[in-house]
Amino acid sequence: MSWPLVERGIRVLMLDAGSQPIPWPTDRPSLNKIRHADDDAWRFLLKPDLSGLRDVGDVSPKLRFLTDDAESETFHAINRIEGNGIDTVGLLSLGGLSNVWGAVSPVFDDQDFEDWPIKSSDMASAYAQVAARIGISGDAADAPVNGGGIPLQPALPLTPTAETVLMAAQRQGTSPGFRLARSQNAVLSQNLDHRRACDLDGGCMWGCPHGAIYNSANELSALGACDHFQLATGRAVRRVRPANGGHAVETIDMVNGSAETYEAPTVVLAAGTIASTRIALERLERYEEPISFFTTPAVGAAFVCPSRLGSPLPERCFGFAQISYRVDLEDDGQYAYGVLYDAATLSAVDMVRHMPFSKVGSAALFRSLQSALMVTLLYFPGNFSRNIVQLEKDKNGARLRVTGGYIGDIRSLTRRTLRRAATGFRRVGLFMLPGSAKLYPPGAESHFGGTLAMGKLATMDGELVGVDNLFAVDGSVFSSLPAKHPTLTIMANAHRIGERIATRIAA
Amino acid sequence: MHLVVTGGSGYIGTRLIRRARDQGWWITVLSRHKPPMSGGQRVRWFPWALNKEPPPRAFEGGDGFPAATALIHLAHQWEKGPEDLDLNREGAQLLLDSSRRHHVGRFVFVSSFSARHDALNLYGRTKDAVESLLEGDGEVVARFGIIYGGPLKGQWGSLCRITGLSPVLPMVGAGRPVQAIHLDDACEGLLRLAGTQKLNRKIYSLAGPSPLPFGRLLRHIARQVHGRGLLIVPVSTRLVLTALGIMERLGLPVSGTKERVLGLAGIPVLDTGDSLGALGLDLRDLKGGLAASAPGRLRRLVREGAAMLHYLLGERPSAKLLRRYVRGVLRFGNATHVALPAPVRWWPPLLRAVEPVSMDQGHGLRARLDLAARVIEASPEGVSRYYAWRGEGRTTTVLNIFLTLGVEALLFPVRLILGHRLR
Repeated sequence: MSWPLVERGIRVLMLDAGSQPIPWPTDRPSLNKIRHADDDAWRFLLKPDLSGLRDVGDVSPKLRFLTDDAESETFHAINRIEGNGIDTVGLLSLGGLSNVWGAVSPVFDDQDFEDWPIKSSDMASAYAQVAARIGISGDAADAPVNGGGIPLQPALPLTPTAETVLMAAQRQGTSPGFRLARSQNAVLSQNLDHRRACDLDGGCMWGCPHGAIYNSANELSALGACDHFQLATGRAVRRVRPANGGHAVETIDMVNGSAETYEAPTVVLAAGTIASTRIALERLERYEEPISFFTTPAVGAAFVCPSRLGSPLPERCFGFAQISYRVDLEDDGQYAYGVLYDAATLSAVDMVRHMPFSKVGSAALFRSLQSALMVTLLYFPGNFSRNIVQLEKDKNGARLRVTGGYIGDIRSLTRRTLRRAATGFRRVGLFMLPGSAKLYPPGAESHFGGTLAMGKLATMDGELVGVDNLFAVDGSVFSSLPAKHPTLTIMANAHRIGERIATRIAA
Repeated sequence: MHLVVTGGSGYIGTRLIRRARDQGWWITVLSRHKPPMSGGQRVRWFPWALNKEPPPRAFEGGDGFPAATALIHLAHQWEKGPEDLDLNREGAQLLLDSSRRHHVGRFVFVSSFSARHDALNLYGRTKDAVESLLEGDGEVVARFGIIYGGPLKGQWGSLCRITGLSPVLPMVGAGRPVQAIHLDDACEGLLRLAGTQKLNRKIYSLAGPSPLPFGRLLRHIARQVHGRGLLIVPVSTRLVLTALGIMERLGLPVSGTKERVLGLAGIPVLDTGDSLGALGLDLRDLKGGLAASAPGRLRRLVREGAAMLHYLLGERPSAKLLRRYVRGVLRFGNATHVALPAPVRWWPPLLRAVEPVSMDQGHGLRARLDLAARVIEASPEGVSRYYAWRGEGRTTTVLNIFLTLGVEALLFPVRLILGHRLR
């Protein structure tokens, strides 16, 4: 959201607790070369400090490569967040979770904005500007699944298994209530500024050496070149309080613990849904008040494409989501949104660990299935989650307690929906592996939103009700959380709000 | 940066000095006994006792040493009884005066969770009396819970000794909640307090945020250090104190025991999250910390790694893989070893028949096998166990699938019966 402000000549000071992004190696060979018995494979797959051996449970496998063992704990301690039955994942690295995201970037449509005080037309320009800036590859013809209206780079080529599935869908059509298309990802297929296009090296899960996957930290050098922009790294925000008609932001230095306070007439919170919520609720003095928010319940499953069994693994491919799909739910016209990954681009151990057989048996089975295997993550709308945040007072200020959960019959809902998806996939030659479905715990998908919803605690411009010129622009202000991946919409909404703040300041 | 440490020859002091030296501090030790590494590069020693004025040279620059920037006061006198309180307070006052006179920016006093003006034991009252002397800017207190790990000295040495005496242990305060911190974490906390430029509070409470009953702590120590279980027989604190009172009246030397019993009875539970967060201190978990302190740990991990890797690889692992496995376990695997049955250690492929059926990802053995699998997946000799590049044709692949499923089906009942014993 800094861009629209800086471009209008407004001075921006960005405070970030991180000091540098996760340093992905720039000399990583292709995944295929690494796996062809390269003696140095472990340096890239595990990293020299062996951080690749870290167990990260059900959250993104990329979190395994954090340089600091304590980063997640520090994130929680410094932001004074306490999770209960929910993974409140957060990173203090510069760029935050965009260091490790999956880059799936669908556009919300009218149906997705149904409960919002704004319409999709209010977002159209912001979507387009953000998409052009970060670079999204995909196919405009896939708008019925991915949403449309944004400039796209050409789609990246699919893996052979994904191509087989998509061709079958085009040939035979899909079943009612089930649609699939190429995935739309914030990954470059053409060079953009200093970032290079994806060279199909297959190792997306081990970090991109060319910067083809969008990371918000990539933009800081360009922003830093603007006269009006200043970045203060390594400063975590403790509190925002009123001061001299504006706001004072109290920060703490992440290295030496020194405190520093910045004063500004306008303050914007973009620390991620949970961290921004703690700061906002403390400023609003809304203690001991349970506030519900959304996550998108996620279920994983494995599918096999028998016609690909025994085929060679792809030499060159793109390693993130290949196919996106939506499955209509039984009532209310809602839908679940899923993505399919090709197992050839994932770590075998990440798959094997979910198999119920012995480790040796699981490895042998995975080896046989891999060339034909696709793995799905299917997300459900946020109204199927039951999460609460509550700000609790303690002697040092306030602590945000976050409690996660799902609606009571989530297992039955996910089972029924997966069955519908399986029926749709069967028609295009993909068969679900029995027993492979797994419901992930709340928050594992890292889609959070709605704590400071626009129309409730915030205005349609993200301004906190009752506190002039204090804005929130991340997922916290979402009025609802559809099943689609929210990151692109978070960026677009922040851009929209940035433009409105700029207009207001200029006036 | 120049750090003055008092009591540098004790349990905490010795470790603290080594860690501080490794972090690039210049160190002056003030103690009665010469610490082991004094005289080496960056470490010097001046004889000093609590009732003496500290030598001014300890705070001054010279011989490559800059002027002192921080002081950590560890020394504590506790041999003489009630007069210890005055001695410790007066000694601390002398140190504080010297520190202020020489403009040492930071004074860190090492205290205890039991520090309270109305503490049951003398130790807690003494620590409280000294804490109250700290008033200036940059004068802070580090209150520690139970410190464990490292050499078998101090309170940690006593706990190890009593848990090793017998498999049955009568104990007072077995249900009392306590909070523990590993010696290395405690030292790191002290160095952060000494080196952090601005601190926004006077008292930092440092120990694990989640308390556990004292009896359970003892059982963990017995399991990790002595490799066996421990049955705790709870004994009434009041009963023991009455007995000690009678013995005291009879002139028997029981004051030390009474101090310890009262100390345990009066130890409070403190919220340590804020202090740890403010210092960015991430404590190791108790089991891992204890395991890391157990003798013979590395040998057991190497033996375990050899079996795990052999099982997954189908052959003896190279030293390189074994090294990566052990490094990985030490860093991420809480450092406890998984006890494998002797037949599995002799012939690791047997593990396939006894591998637990549990899908619990936190299961000790499964988590360790996953770690071993990652090591193998990233090695030239192991990668083909997981990937078939060129494809093996549909017929061979389908046959392999059925063969694997058949073997797994046959092994399933055996795993179901034997697997639950392995954790």
